[in-house]
Amino acid sequence: MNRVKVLSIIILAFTACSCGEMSNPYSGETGLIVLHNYISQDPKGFDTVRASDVLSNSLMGQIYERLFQYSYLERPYKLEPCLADGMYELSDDKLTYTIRIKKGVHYADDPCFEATGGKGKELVAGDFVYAWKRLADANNDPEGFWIFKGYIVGLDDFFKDSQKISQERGKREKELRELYARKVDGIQALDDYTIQFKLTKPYPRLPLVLAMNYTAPVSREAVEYYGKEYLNHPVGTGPFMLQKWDHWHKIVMERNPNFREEYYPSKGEAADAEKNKPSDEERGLLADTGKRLPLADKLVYTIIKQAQPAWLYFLNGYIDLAGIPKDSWSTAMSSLIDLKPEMKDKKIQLCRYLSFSVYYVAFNMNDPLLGYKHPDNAMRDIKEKRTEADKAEKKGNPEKAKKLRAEADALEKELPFLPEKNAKRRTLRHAMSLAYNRPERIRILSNGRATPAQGPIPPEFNFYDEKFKNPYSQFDLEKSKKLLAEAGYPGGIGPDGKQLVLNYETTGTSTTTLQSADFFRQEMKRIGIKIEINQNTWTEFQEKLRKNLAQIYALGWIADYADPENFFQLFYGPNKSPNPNNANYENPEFDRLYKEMADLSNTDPEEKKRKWDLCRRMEKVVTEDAPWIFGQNSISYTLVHSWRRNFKPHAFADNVMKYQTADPALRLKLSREWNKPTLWPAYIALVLFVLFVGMFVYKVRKQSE
Amino acid sequence: MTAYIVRRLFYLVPIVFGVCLITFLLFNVVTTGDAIAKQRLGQHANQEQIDAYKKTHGYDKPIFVRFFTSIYDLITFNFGRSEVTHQKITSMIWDGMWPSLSLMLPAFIFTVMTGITFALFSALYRNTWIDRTIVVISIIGMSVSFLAYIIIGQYVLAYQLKYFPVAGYEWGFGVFKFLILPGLIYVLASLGRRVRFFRTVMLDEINQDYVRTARAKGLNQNVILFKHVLKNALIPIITQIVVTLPFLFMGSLLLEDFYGIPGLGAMALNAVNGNDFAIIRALTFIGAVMYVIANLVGDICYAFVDPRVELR
Amino acid sequence: MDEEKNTQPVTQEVEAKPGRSLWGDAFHRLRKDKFAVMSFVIIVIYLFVAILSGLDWIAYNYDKQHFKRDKNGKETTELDDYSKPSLGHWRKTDVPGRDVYIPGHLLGTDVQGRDVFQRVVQGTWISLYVALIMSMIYIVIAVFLGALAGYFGGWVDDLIQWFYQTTASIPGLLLIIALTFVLGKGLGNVAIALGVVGWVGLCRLMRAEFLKHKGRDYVLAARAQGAGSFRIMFRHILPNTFHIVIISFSLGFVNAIMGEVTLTFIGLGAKPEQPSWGRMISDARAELARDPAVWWPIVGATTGMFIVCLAFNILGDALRDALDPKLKE
Repeated sequence: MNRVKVLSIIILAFTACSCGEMSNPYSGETGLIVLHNYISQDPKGFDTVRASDVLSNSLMGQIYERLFQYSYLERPYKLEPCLADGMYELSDDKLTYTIRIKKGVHYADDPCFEATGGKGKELVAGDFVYAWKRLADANNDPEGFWIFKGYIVGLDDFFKDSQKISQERGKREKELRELYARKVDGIQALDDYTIQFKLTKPYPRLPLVLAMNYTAPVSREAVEYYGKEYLNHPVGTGPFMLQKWDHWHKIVMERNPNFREEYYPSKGEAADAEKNKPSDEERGLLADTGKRLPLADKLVYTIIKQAQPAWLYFLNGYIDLAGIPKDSWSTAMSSLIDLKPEMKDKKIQLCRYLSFSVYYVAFNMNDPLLGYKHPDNAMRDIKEKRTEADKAEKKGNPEKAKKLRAEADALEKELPFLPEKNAKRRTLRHAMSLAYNRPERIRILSNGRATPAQGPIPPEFNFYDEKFKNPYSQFDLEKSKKLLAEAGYPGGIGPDGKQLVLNYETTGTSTTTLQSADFFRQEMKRIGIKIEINQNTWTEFQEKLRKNLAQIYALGWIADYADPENFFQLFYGPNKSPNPNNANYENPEFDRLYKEMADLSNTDPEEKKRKWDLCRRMEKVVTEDAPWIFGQNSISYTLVHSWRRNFKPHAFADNVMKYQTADPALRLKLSREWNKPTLWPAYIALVLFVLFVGMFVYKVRKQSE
Repeated sequence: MTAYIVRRLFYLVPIVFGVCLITFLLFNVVTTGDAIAKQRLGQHANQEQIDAYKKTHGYDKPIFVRFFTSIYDLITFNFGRSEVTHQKITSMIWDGMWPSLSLMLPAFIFTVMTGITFALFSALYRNTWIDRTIVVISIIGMSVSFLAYIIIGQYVLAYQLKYFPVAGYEWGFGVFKFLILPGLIYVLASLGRRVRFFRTVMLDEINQDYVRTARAKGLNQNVILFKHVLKNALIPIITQIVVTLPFLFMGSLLLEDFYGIPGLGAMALNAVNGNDFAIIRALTFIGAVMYVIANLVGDICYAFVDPRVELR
Repeated sequence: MDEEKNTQPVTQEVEAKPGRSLWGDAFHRLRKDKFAVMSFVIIVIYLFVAILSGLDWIAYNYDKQHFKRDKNGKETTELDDYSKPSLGHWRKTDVPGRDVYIPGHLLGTDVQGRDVFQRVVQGTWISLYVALIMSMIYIVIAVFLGALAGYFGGWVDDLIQWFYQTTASIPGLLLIIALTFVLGKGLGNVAIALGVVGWVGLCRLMRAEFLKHKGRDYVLAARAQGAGSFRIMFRHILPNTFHIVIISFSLGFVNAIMGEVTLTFIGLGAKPEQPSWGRMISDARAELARDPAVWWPIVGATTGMFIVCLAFNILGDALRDALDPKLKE
């Protein structure tokens, strides 16, 4: 009898479970407006000096504010004041910027404000200056100092002096205090609400830079109160504040009650008949005009490492928006622009937009097989090496001097053959670029979500020339084989009769990265080049770049701001590795053009025209020298559920959550509807299990009798 | 008894020393002071800075001094901060331990209970079809890759049939629904091994002379089984369970990664992918210390339960 | 790979019966076990296939990309990615009566249009390679140290016991990870790391065996004849304890194959171009989510692995039963 009871309880429990939502990951939702987002990694923390990756930025953008922000709805992308009270004033010599900040802006409440008993203090100009000094303080491991480096009067010296700070306890604190008390001429708070920049040379991108998280104001109280733990306790003036951070699980932010008065914009993008694009008003993006921001009460970022579970979370309605993982493409899309009917039935919306990125395969220009060295630069290197050798000799290091001298001599010996060698290696790179099978790559590895890249500037970006076609960006095996022979490797066999073997470094160990690497190996195999793939984690890869050990590797670059300089800097000689030019490309002609281009603004018509010409010339030089195989420019796809409102993709802005809102009741209703488990297999399994156990017990009984 | 425990405690010292030695050797071959300094100070660090860092962190000292400071750091559980996330390692481990335990402990207990039951049946009905079915199923279960269990389990039970969330975690009691599927997979994958081990132990016991005698005397089968065989067989089983416990703390790398459980296993995997030596070192050391302690506890249990063990 | 370190075979001393040696006796018993014979045959076939594919005599086209075919059966430039398992089919062409045969792939193709079946077959070689290196290393270490500890006793024994207890207390997977940081990545190094970590169980058993045998008559006789310690250890005692090594080897094989899968998933093992079973299973997680699901690589690799592991497990069990007189009836 007992057994029957237990069984019925089990069955009852089973059916009871199945009525609720067994697969719902959240419990206890309340009536608040919650935006459910997902991120794929635990962030590095909330310290603005290390806001170098997309993920950290997308989180910090909700907590911190900067002087300027991008207009959420208007296109083309436009800056507008955020913490600044109006735009900047620029002196005639273009070297002095004066910016006023809004009055009455308060930080979020935090125990660090001991003087006011936890109430958030008012934002003053000094906080900006403090934050920028922190950015220039080498003791903080800043990752964003490059935005000011070389442009601000006195800040480079500040950086250098910060490196000299002693590491000894006691002494260190005192020296740091002295350092921060020092006046830096280039950044000054004229009064509590006015900031002035003094530049060493014109910096037309300064306003763009002041919209980045690196430059967000930070309160000294918070930094000193939390010390090394500041990265877990950010205190900002933004619309949200960090409530909870469960590592590798969830980040929750809630509305900041101290947030200044800001209202939903009234101006949107107009309709574009040519592209069949409705205006923002027609898309319902202006429905909340005039409402006080932020619209939502709470942000939840669930951390889901793998793309597939995240995608399922989205399909079940547990997160509001998601990209489409590579392997789920066919479950979501019926063509490149159309959702599948099942998706349409769920009223899911598709947002398709260009993400201003370029994916490339880089060659290390220092490599003896593939590289490129301009004779002028070679001569410069020889000279440098010899002076360094002299220095080493004086310091009493004859071995090092000897080694350096030998290197210099070897270079000098090679000098007369350099032009010829450069040409041959360039042909080799061209051959590899032609064998790079862009159409198949885009079809198989990207589901068609990309276009072949022609040059450094991605389509529809500022100063993009759609007429420009890179002659080496098509797939042409015959020509590739021909060029390979011209380069001295007919069929992949070198002049010494040996097989040409090149090393390819992966940037991670994810399946997609490895598949892409293997794809490259197969492409090169078809023209006869053998590729050895080395697996690295991201850190190991960075280390290899730094030590100049990488030969070939694939990387991508996403625009930081709307200026072509952001892409061309990747080829600028002085930016060589470990700076962003990790192909170590150096061409005096390009460097000259770049230097001129970098100081030109995008607004002045005269300068703009000159800039356009320069961009075209640089594009030509770079594509001809081919330090990269220009791979593809991605098209981003984001799917949004019907209950999430006011979502509009933005290439640069990260403080977008304050504009968005959701309908929690609709979410609850729909996700309940979608998540009815298929129960019959469970019942069959249960019946089978019961039968099996019953038979077992019966047999055992019989046996023991 | 106390004397025995104290003696055994003394016996731990050389082993903990050995663990320190091995971790120190491994991680000092991997990472030189320069490499760590560069990682900590960022790409723009110059030689002066690196030297200063090495000085303050003791990398310029002779290897013996460094070894003893590292031992001191390890046994005082002072692991420093992660090189990648800049977080305190002790708090990372403390945070990660609970999710790991919440997954592994129930699953492990369930496995052991089921395993003992199956093993009992198997041993009792030795060489009948019952025994053979159990043995064959355990061997089949052992021959499938753990990764295949996870992938197929997740795909079928979570993706296709939607019985469980695909991945995720929750602090508090809501966590239950996340843990069923990975727990189930753990049980499936490890049950075979357990059953086989328990079966061997019980067969050992059943073949003892006293069982034969009891049988010959016509004692009730059940009495023999539960009063004698199980009781004696429990000794090696308990020892093995106690020794396995520390591994439950460390979690499972693959399960936690696939099911998004923020435990120590997932942390170890992230550390591997981020080359975060400090975390691996800390985990290695803590795992080893727990194993050593568990061993000690196991031996003491053994001594308590089994009168045959001399307390020398 | 797993947490158990105590699942090494529990063996008892074996007395040779008059007229039939230990091995002869075991062989006789094994032959009666149908499962064991079958497993043995499977293992022999597996070894054969592995060696042939290692020599590139079979499944040598595992790295070849296949292309989609047009109406006339000619290859196009589009890769034949993720084609379903099939034996091939006839296709009508423009010319009537001249149908062409489009060859299929037994287990379909992978993301780059490569034949999955051939890759699974190549996987046998990789698993054998890993398992052999690992076994070689851990058997040599375990036998040598176990023999020294058991035979000499005293401080040698203490030192070796200390060493293996220390090794055993470090979590195995973490130790392997740490070792691959030192040695570098790749299958060879993973196999070495597996070997360096996996010797403890066998070492313990060998020590116990040597301890037991060193008082035996034949050892005393050898010593009386003036044989050196090492000669006695490795010429006289070792052959009498070698069955333990065999059992441990056949069960350790499974650990090596499983270990390769885990470590490749973590990113330490096989390179992306190597068609190891671990690689195929790791990649499968995403591929299963496609519509329609791409199940053939994971099913192929898992089946291949399953058969080999099952055979080794059964044979290992049977060997243990055959060589362990206490469990026989």
